[in-house]
Amino acid sequence: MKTIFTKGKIKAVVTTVGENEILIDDEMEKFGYDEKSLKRLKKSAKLHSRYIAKEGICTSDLCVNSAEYLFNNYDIKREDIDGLIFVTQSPDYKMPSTAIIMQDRLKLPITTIAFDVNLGCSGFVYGLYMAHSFINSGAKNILVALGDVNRYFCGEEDKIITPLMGDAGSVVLISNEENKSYFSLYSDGSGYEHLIVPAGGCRNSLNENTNKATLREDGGIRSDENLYMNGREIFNFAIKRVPLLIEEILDFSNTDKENIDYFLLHQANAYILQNIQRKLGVTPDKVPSKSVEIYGNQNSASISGIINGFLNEEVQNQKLEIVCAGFGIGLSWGGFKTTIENIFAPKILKGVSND
Amino acid sequence: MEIIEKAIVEINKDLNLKELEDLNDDTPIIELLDSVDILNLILAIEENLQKEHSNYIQVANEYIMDKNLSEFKTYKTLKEYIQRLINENNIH
Repeated sequence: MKTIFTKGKIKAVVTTVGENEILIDDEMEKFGYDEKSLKRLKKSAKLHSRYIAKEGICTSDLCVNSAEYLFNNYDIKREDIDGLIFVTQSPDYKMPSTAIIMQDRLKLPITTIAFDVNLGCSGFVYGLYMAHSFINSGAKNILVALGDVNRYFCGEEDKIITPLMGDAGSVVLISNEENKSYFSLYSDGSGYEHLIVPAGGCRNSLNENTNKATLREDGGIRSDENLYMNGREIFNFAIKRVPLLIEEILDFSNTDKENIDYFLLHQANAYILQNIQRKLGVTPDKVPSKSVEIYGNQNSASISGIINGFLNEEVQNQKLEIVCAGFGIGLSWGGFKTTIENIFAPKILKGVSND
Repeated sequence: MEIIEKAIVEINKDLNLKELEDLNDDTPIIELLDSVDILNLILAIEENLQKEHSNYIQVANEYIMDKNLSEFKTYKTLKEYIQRLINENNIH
């Protein structure tokens, strides 16, 4: 689906990551890597470190921390928030929607629309799409909260996926101001099995066997309650879909790639980012890719993570044309082109404040 | 093809696979390597192509990790694929 919104401006982005920095070198033993396999993994995936939340911290805690920082340091009143959309795969409870609990924790008015959206790596784009929809229906300010704490669905010893993941919770404030944004969104459920937690839903309920972690064919140790990724299929999907998506958005918005200041892409894999950058024929600084190396794959918070982690000076002081694209579980992908100007974007926050 | 041979020798430094040392047209590249190794091989080939031809040529495509459809199925299919890419990109 392609949509042009004439209203909606990103005004603020705040991201909190887990407080524990873990170096991939220190996880060799845990995941059973030898020196050579670690070297291979570091080369292809460019892994260096990741940030993990403390035991007991939920994604909502990281997002509430980001939101409190926003309310305490930016000129926005809680009573002026019309909606809170929480994009996550790690809610506090199966029911009710965590966003509603967050409405109370953040002391937002009871007139706030609040609900959860179950999406991963495409979630930044989908969350902002919904926020723009509400804005164009008359809402004044929408807060989109995004992110995941991965220990709730990644196998502790799964060397296939767990070393890639970092915990983060962001909030993005969208306000009702004139601004053109061009969105394009896609879904393809035929690939749902390639990135999935097989047990725990109605289709495959929890039982005494679903939490038993065993060595799987791909070398990962996980249970059916943990996330499984078919790396080959996901790689093929990203290579096939993402470059076309970006070309389509540039075409749709009638924008030359030279006029885009940054292509902010979901930080899944260093090769995919490099591949897109080279295909676009733009310089590497236009496609930031350090986030996955330093913070890990932050799912729906990875694009906001780039902004707070690496571009906070630029976005706070300049008018920029950006293209964002997210892709992953579902399979689901989407992107948009918009203009941002002097947004509030502090440096990344590490850990939940006790204040 | 020297570009590919060099890349395979490079990644095999970490793998020490006898089959890659005794490379022949039937060597089943995709069966021998996992997705991390395939990615490292792609990176090495792209790097060698760029060094030799001063041009970026994308080696990965949407089928590259597919065991049945991948051009990395055997050493022969890989050589043919890279030659095709070189021809398509008009570099000599």
